[in-house]
Amino acid sequence: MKANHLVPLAHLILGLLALVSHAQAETATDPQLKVAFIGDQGSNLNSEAVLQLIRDEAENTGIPVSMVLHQGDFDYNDDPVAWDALINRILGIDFPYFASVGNHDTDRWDGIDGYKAILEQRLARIQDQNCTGVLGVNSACTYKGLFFILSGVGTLGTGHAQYLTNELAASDAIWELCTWHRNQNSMQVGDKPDDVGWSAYEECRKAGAIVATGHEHSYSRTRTLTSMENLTVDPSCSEVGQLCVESGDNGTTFAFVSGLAGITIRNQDRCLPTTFPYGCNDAWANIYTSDQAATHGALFITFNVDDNPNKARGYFKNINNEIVDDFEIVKISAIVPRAPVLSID
Amino acid sequence: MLKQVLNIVAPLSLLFAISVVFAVNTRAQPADDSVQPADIERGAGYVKERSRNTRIAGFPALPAFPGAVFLDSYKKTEGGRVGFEAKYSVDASVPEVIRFYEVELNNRGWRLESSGGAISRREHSLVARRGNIVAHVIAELEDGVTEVVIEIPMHGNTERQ
Repeated sequence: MKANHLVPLAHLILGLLALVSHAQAETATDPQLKVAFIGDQGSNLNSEAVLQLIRDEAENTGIPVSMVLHQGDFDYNDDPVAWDALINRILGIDFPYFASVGNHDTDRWDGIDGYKAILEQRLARIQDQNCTGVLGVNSACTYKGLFFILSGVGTLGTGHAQYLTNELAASDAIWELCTWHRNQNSMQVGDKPDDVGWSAYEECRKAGAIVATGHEHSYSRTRTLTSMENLTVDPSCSEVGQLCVESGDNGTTFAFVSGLAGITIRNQDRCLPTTFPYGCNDAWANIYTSDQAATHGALFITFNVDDNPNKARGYFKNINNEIVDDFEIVKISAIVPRAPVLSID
Repeated sequence: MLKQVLNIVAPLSLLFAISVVFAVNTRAQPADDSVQPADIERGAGYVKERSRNTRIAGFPALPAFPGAVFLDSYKKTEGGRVGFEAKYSVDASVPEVIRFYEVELNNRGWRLESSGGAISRREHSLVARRGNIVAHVIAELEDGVTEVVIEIPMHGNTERQ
């Protein structure tokens, strides 16, 4: 072989090796890792019913919930000990329960027996977790291969956007989550104002991380978005029940509000009409508020399904065991390239 | 000749001027004094009317907490369905607000649904039904201010009192 063919060939081989090595560096979650996402809980019969729903998933579906991610607003009574006791009673003292701070948690966040201390005590009881940073405010965790940030952006602490960027860049997990309590007005369907800023949302999108929030007391989920700020739906992955998550400057992700863990249920103020297809750029795939006769419940996402580490399946289930939303998620990566262009609904 | 033309044109002109003035005035007065044309949002199959001065017309007769400061109200319609919202700020605690509405709703024939548990200091709601109407009375304390929102979720028709 002539020498002038060897150099580009060498480049090609090195490139392929880099691609393979990068692909192999992505960490998968445990198979069928099921996560419950809740927010805005309270301390009443409905709050208990949601925890019981989470506990009973194993019996009802055959796949147990491995962990809870609670996006802020705990018991609304400033009683961290009682709140912890409720979780212990229904889910168990060692149950992997992680949370980010909400606006109704800040008065009793710090101090002995504050919410942060209670969560730290629980964290110490969780086997095989790895959390760094300031828990619930600027913390990054890996549990069973799932990487998630518990952020206080918009609620407590500072430096959130940079923290998100740095921690997401350092993660090699296939599945990454950005979790926090508050919203931007256009990232929910009630009357919540711009509390978070767009940097956090966009940094998570560029990292290919799913955005999980609470605060507005309803459930809503976007389609795949190429811009969070402009609510731009990805034309190549626009189906309501199919979501594509991909990192990069042109990365894509989706966001949801899961705020039906037990406290009041609110109506739909924005993005009317109240039936699909909704307003606001067709960005919303599902909206579930009092205008849709919502009751309390949780969002469940199971990662690494169908023997595919890059595939996940999600559904919102209420305390009457009704599924009100269901969808699949594909994490686009070197292992799983983007599918052919899909038609827009 | 000119005088004859003027005798015809003048009254016609006056008639035209009167009709223009009448049309302009009629258009400037909305059917409901509380809703201005700029506060009406229309979209695919829905209309949302907002009132920034007083509770929107047609809102079911539910009391406002004594001393409540009105903030905002709207009505939304989609086909044969309608929903309402009214928002206030009050100088009272969440438990005080909730207890007030428990008594008032009971007295007015609403059936209260309990969520169990004590009234939370930070946020609490009542869900009440009368006929096919559901009312959510939500009181929330945030940044030292108690906000009261009365929401009537979308339903088939409006009960008027």
